[in-house]
Amino acid sequence: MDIIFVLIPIGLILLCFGIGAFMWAVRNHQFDDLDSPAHRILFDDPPIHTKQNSGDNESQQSQ
Amino acid sequence: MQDLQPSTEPSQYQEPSAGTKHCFHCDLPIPKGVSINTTIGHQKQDFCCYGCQIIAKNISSAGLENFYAFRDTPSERPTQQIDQEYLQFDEPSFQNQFVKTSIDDENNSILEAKFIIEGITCAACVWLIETQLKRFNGVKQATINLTERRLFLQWDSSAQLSELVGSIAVLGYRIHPYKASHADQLHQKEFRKAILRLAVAAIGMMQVMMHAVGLYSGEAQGIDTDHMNFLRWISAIITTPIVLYSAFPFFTNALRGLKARHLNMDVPISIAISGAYSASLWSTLFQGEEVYFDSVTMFIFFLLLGRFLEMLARHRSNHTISNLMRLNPDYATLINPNTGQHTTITVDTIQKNNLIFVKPGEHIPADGIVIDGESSVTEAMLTGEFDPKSVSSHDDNNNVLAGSQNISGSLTIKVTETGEETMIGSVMQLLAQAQNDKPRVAILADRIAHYFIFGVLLFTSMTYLAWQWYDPSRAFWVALAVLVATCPCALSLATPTVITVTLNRLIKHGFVLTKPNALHYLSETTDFVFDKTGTLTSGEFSITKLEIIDSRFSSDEILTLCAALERDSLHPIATAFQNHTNQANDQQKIIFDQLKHKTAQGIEGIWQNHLYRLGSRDFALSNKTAPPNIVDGTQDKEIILSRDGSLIAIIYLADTVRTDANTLTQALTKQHVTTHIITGDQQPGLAKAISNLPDIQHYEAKCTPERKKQYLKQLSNQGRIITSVGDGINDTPILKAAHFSIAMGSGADLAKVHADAVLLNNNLLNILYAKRISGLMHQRIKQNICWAIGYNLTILPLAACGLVAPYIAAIGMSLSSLLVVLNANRIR
Repeated sequence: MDIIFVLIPIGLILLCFGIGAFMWAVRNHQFDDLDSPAHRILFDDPPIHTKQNSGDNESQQSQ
Repeated sequence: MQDLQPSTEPSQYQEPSAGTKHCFHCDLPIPKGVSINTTIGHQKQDFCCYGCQIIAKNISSAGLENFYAFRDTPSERPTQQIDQEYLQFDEPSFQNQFVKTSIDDENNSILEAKFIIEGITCAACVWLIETQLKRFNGVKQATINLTERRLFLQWDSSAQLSELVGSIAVLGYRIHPYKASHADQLHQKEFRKAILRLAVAAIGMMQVMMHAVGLYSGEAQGIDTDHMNFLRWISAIITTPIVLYSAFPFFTNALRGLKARHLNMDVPISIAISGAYSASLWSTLFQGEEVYFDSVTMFIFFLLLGRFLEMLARHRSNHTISNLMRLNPDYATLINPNTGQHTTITVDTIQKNNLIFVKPGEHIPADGIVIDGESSVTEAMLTGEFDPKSVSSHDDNNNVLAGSQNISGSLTIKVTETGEETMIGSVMQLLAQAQNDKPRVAILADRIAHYFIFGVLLFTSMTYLAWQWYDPSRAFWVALAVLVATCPCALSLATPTVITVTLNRLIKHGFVLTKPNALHYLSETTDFVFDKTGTLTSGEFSITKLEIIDSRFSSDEILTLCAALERDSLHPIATAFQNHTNQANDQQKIIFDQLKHKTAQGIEGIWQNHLYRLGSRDFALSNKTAPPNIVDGTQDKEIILSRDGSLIAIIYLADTVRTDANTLTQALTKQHVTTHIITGDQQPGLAKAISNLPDIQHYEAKCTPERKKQYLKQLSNQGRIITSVGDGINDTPILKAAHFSIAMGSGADLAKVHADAVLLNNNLLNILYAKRISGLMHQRIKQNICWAIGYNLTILPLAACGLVAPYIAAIGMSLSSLLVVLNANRIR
């Protein structure tokens, strides 16, 4: 188990890198908007409206 | 908690109830008799007004109709003129106020600025606006921050800013330049620090937990002393920055509280953190029995998470407020009295006795006297009366007030009062008084916490002393467990989480809280006080009756004629006909030649060699004796359409009650809430509104802002809890003096700034939703506080008896916090 004397310090160094990367991200406005990026990736898909929309319309027009 | 009838629930994104169609764009119910439709995609869609139709057409013709598939919240109904020109955005003197210029690698100048965008309801709006802007050649970057509802735009000189701004406006959004305020910059700093602190605590906690697993299993199965010490040292190294950096705000807050001789929640937290940390460190140094680095880090992380959520909720409402206090592109045209030359100046530099030139459609920048020209002006935002009054340099009606809109002709005004001395300024002073009359929100929770913490500290020291006497070696750890177990963590999370969830739910329904503290009053409201014009009514003229005299014309033809005449008019009457334009699209499109606006009289134009006139009796009819004397008791405004001086039709116009106003008042009456209308309008207008709203119990007409304030004070003195709903500047005193106040999204900016909430989509039924949610919020906060205190009281004796190890105390605390958060999320 003596390997932990090497592995854990390596883990610590990686941890420092992780926190450093996070600090970089915060300073570069990556965390300024916590709401829209989650949706944003969905919108780049090709059009899907024909199916979904027509469903909506039928229900509206039947009224 | 009052129950709400299911039928009165706002119907957003539910199936439209039978009989009423909902607008494809804004999802508001389509008023009876309105039939506007367009093919969007491959489907015919219905709209409530031409504004919505034009926007949907614009979106569709730009190939962006996916927007309607993407969005999960309906859009706002447009209230502004959509195809406005934004030429002032190109003026260097205006751009200087908010645009930053920089030079890129290829020596081109890059301009960048931030804008506030009104009307963003969901992430699909972000996609729509960004996609639209990125099509322009000169646009380098366009990113919208959905939380702040602000756009960051980078462009070069090949793009005209006015075009970019206009391209967003045609999609139905309102755009204003944004200038960072000091408070906003502080918020951003605070946010970044908080998220860094949280991240350090979270990542560190995971590491420490990992090593803690090693230590605990080592304890169970046996472990080398070297390995154990190594793991302890590593845990200590990771915990140190968490305590010194992440937990730093707790220490400073505790110190600040102690200095002010006030025990805040951070005092026991600081004692627990520093106690557990130093004891564990001591254990590590001198190979003591136990280390509790895992408990310390977990404790810090959960506390920070609670604070972080609370901060997000606070910032969100702050963004809303600072977006309302935007930099207005208010410009005025100054006339040089000697040379007659026109120069553009900002409104705040106007001085007394300056000569100002006001074009039709512009707002009058200062109180003054008309010295040249004649026109009509509406003072709707000031008085609630939207029927324009005529002003002219020739007679006594020559006073104009700042904030009113010039409608038909150009005016030259000599400024008499500026800034705070204007009419708007005096309303602002009333506001300051009303603020003092506002019932104070008791800071009870804070006081409870104060005593609670004092009790906890006392109990902890007693436990410590008792254990000193009984078993000194365990005294410290038992006392620590008591401190951690009783930490009012769940208690401190109880309120902010519920408020965060409530705010988000309400925003989804277009109900934006600018001051969340007062929301609990909404559910307890005993009296609703409404303004009439613009609030319960739409604040626009619509046709109540059409009397056809010349039977050669059908009603459709008449309305199309009127619409064509009023096409370019800014007069409020024009809005009554806006739903009838474009109807005869291709065949026989009516286009009038020589359209002339006659101030205070009407409009005339020539089509197919006939002179058509629309306006007052005297103006429209050549033969003054001819008109049949129709006396209608309704006191509606009468206008007459004539051809070559002979009567075609008489059209009656009135401000109509919003479709959902009756549902709202009915539902409120069912909930035993008293409803009032107090309005600055004249008696007949009020009587007409009342006849359509049978559930209104009290009403008063011709109220000055002072009278309104007095009315509310009387109610308040009777111990009633008041919610007020208004839209105009003249309503701001009632918005300020009520326990809770709601401004309409279509209302004046000043009203929005001073209300506790803004109803963005003008859907009155959302008030019912908000009322229900605020009741739920109240209930959840109570439940959470009960649970948190109950948990603390149960674990306290166990901890005091030494039955709870610090790590169990920390787990129990986290679980109880988690339960509180989950309970908050049940609000729907």
